[in-house]
Amino acid sequence: MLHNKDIVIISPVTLINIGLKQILIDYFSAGNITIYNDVGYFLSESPERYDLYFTFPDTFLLHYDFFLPRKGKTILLTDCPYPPSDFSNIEHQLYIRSEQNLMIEQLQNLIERTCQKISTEIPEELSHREIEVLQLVAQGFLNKEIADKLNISINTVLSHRKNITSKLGIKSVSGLSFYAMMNGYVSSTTE
Amino acid sequence: MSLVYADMKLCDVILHEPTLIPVLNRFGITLGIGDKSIRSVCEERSLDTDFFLTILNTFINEEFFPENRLKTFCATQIVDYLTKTNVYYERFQLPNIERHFNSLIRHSGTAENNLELIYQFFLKVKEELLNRIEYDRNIWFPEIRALSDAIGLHSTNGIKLPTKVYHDEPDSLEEKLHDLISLFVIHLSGEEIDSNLCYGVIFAIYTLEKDIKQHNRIRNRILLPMNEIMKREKNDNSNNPT
Repeated sequence: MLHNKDIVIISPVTLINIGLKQILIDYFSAGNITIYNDVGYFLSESPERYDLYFTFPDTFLLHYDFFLPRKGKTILLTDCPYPPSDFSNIEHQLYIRSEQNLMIEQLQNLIERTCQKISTEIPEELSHREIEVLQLVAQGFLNKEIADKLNISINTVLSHRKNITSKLGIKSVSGLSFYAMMNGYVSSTTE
Repeated sequence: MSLVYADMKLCDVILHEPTLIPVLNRFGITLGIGDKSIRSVCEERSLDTDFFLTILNTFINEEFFPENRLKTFCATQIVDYLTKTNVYYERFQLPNIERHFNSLIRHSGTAENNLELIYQFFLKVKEELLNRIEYDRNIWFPEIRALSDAIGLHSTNGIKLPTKVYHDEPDSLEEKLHDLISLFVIHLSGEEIDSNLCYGVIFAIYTLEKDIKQHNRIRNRILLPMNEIMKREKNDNSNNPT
């Protein structure tokens, strides 16, 4: 369910982090989970790239500017069964003292609501643009050069590359080159 | 599985985790080990029990990587271990994958398939790994040994290594090995391809990938920073001769 999602847990409580990570792996086959004990460090390293955020209400409040626009992708770890008044407008909350089975169910609901939209958006086939990017990657161009050639921003190139990798299951440049060759997107004589 | 400790019987550990057998070979331990505890096996062979346990544990548990403890071992000990893993890749694992691959290609129909292309990709990855092994053997590892001799064993012990987070290099060998498996699983095309022989190739690649992942963690997060420190230390020593 979460296998191709980038998930981040931002919390200073190591035991909670380990437990949550284990639950996400065991029950939701989560693949890429990053843990940050330190929110400052988290914010300094491309924090916007994740599909799903777990954090405590106080961290959310302290970094309101960052989290508010992402509240649809954020699950708050709350310490009380009813949403505190400041957070009544944040719908995704996980009560960290729930009994285990109940907690799994809650998580199932939350994850369905937060991640459904993302997973239905991605079609399986490469788009025309993605094929163009793939061809340039296969020819050995760097992201910056690809951005210039296609007249798009480097962030757009990165997001195309991320989608290509999640559709094809191939990450390395040489792997992508071989894929492009296998499918006739580039000629094999360039090797 | 849980962590392994010195008072456990080595045979129980292996029965539970047979993928450790090649790791044990690197320490000169071959099958037919009887039912001795890990501690006595190590004592008999004058192995450093602590180092042995740490290597086994990092191999069994992907999550477990006791960076601080690993950094207390001396660099030459780590170089010795990595050298043995390299030899194992070169003499056994790469030829093993190749053997499986050749038999798969031989036994698959001549109908249009992309096995040959996937094989070409494998050869490329193989060449890259062999080049790295060559570099380790002729340049990097001798350099570390020389540094270690120059500054003496004592000073490498207990060195405070930087706590900087080392990210694994992008586009690494392990990524490519993973892509190789993806090519089989997601993109294989053609008829008359023997699934069992495919599994043989995939499993052989998977085993190498797992091993290289461990090798790379030790290489990038332990040996590389150790090497930096040793270089700095040597420079300091030569600038202020005592």
